[in-house]
Amino acid sequence: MTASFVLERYPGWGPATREGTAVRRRIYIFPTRQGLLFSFLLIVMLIGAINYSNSMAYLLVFTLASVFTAAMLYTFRNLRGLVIGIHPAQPVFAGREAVFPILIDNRDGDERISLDIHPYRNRKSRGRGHYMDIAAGELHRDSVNIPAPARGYVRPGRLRITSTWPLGLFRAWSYIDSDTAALVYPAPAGNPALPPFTEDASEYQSGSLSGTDDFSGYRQYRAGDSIRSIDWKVLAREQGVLIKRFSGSGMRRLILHWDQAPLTGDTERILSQLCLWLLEAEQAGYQYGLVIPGFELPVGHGEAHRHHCLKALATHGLSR
Amino acid sequence: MDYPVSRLLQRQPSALLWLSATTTLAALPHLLRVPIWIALFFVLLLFWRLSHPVRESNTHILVSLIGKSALAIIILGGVFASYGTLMGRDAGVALLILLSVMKLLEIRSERDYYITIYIGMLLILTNFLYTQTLPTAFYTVITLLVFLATLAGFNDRNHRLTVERRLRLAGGLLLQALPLVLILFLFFPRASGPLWGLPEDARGGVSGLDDEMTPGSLSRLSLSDEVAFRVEFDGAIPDRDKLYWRGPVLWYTDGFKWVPDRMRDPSVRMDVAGDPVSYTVILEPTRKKWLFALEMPAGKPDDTFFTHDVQIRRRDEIQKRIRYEMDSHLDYRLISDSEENLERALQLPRNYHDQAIELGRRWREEAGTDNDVVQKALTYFREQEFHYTLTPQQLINDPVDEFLFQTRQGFCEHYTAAFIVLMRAAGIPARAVMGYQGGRVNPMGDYLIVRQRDAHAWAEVWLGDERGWVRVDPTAAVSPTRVDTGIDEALPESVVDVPLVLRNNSLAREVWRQLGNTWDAINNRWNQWVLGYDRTRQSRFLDNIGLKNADYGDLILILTAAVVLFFIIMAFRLFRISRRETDAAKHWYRKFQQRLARCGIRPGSYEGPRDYAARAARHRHDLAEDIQSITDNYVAVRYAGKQDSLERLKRLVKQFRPAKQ
Repeated sequence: MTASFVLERYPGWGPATREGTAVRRRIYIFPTRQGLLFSFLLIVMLIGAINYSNSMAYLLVFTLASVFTAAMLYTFRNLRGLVIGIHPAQPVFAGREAVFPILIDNRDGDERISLDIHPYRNRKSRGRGHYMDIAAGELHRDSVNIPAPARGYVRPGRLRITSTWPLGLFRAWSYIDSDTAALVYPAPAGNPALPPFTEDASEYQSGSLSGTDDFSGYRQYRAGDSIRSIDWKVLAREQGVLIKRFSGSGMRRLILHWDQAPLTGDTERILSQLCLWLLEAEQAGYQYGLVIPGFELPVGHGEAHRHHCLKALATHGLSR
Repeated sequence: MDYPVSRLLQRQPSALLWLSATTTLAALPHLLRVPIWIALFFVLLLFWRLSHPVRESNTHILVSLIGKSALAIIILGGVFASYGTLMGRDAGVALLILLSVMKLLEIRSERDYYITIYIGMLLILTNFLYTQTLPTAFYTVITLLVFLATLAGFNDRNHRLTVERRLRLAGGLLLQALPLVLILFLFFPRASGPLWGLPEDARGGVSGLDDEMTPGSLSRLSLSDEVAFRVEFDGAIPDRDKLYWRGPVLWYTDGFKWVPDRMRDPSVRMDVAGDPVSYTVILEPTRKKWLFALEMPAGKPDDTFFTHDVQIRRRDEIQKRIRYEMDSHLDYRLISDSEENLERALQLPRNYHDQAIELGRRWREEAGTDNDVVQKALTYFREQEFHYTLTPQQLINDPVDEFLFQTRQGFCEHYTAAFIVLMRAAGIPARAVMGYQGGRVNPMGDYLIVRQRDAHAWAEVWLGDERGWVRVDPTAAVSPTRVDTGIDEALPESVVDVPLVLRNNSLAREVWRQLGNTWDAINNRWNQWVLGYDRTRQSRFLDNIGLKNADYGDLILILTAAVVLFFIIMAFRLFRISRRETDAAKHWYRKFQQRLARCGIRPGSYEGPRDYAARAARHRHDLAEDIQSITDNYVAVRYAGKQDSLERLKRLVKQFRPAKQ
């Protein structure tokens, strides 16, 4: 237990608990502003008791002081022994918030009341005003939202879990570090008009263009196919997962090339433009590929393909 | 981290209710004492607040700046009008009460919430300046419970806890604090005197005789074992019913308080008979300006002067122990006094003591001489149901009338004040004398010790030029032992008043008396051990437990050790609970694993119960059956939720004692 003025003034200096291990020794505790005021009040009351030699005033002061001390241990206990796991978040677009699922394991502990877990950046970091009560033996699920301002990776960084239960006179806190990260795609931006198509009549004729094209038959589902081209009626008849194929001019392929982006020079804006096109192409159901410096992906379609492309954009030029 | 309270109050209106409850509980004992307008103001504002629970603060008309300033002016003006001052105990408490309810009006942040609570704590504290009885202690415990429950409820941000759980938590905190409270109370170094001058109306705490007399001013002193002075007599010590140690003489009353007259007059005319008694007084510092002497002093020490009513005063306060030699005549007559003085000795407050004055006048008409009136009064005290007690009921509006006709319980100041009022009503000049009565001979040193508890008040009446000022001790009429054998014998006596309904049944009467005596004995203990626990008693206690001559350093050392010990024990208790297995099945399964591990089969982190059982069974064919059934039962409880397997699991694990191989 470390109750130290230094740690309160320069929090974040103290060692943290690793994510996934029990919060035990690295709990810091210090009176809250209300608690400091309370101790000041106690001193004033004690002086009054001494001055008036009033036995019951002495008793009152001693009772409050003892309760103050006991409350400190209660607050400490409210954090002690929790195991906090921080799980990877789903990828997000830059400018949004990554949602990191948090798993608080209280399977070995008593009931916890009004815990607040929040990202810790500096000493001005505040709680979320969203408090968790965890029953004895509960495996509690919660999440922390971390803003993802720029593409690349976002980490939850240091989290702080705090408690002022039961009297609000002390605040106990602990830091949790983790290596978890979430991928941040570039924010889609730029000109929504797609670049020109590359006509190609290769065997990859599995596009699902518009309803005006003539239906030309089925083929088996392959990984990467858009779920929109699945014939759900067939699937409902339990005849397998089949992809509807259309004939016509729809066999278009789109290669999104770094150089096609009109804004040369500014990497981030190019990435945003490519991102927007990617999303448009995926939305429209085109076959698309990506060519950027250091990375090339042949045409494809579907969630997994989209993720590969976006990940390439997100990590472009980053060491990891 | 301030929590937006307005939101909290919206989501949890009970937070305001709890806060109001704590404030009311803390203020209630005061509300019964303060002027009625303050109590009304408190109640009205409280109701107003409760009927407007949540609103954005700046829309409150009352708490807007103008409103607040107006309220503040009204309050300050009102308190000043009621008390004539803004300082001191009574006015201070009145302000505190008003402040608490005002603060309740403008709770905007977490800090406001806490400050309201803290003001409430000050209200509890100041209550002890008025009363320190056992019922007060019980009441305070209940108030503290609600205080802690309020704080717990406030910090239970999702407000899920029931009222009962909050109170249980508060009770647990208080109980757990108890050992430390005891240690702190016993060992915290007690100061011998106040740190600085007390406000004038701080009667409760002063441990010495004052030159004012109010109901309770002397009974409070009687708790104190502190030595007032010691006396060495040149000859034999006079009989104790002659030992009246004269202090301030009081003339004027406002219905509550009696105050002295400070006119200087060196010419005291006194007729004396016999030889004077010579003695030396060693007076403890009193921080007052008068000396004590046996009635009546014949001479005076240097640097002192007589007043016309035979007080010996000094120009400056007695700051350290002094020693002076005195001669006194026990057989004396104080004859002749000026007309003005006799006129003053008939003063009565306006609009007070109506019943007493009427009684006095009736006696005047019935009796012949002044002396007959005096005897009538003493008979009245003796024959009516009057009780001599340290802890009389509170007298609220008219201390004399309420004492004479309602409560009939009092200490010497009550009897003296009532007696003088009766005399003055009958046209007999009378004045009060405060001092000490008796004292205890120390057989080892052959001197007399007079303690604060010997403080006493009596009356002097003017019975014409022939007899002059005559001492009358009305307390002696009620409790002759007080004067004959001293305060110690006088007090523990039963002061039980048996209610009328029980008087006819002897058993009920006896039981009632028994209960009353028990209660009195408990109270006596409380007075002796809790209220009277001062520096003297502390050092006696330390001597008894073998810490002779412990100084402040030793005490602080003990205290530090005690606090550390308390902390360790508390931490151990609290954290052991948290380590306890909340899942019984897991607890017993873990025991099983531990026993197997002792035989060399440790569970791997990669193994589930079944894999572990299979491996263990391979190693120990002899245990295979037990291992299998324990594992099956555990799996049934844990994963199939079959609670009836728990008992079997428990039994099997208890029997499972594998021998090492």
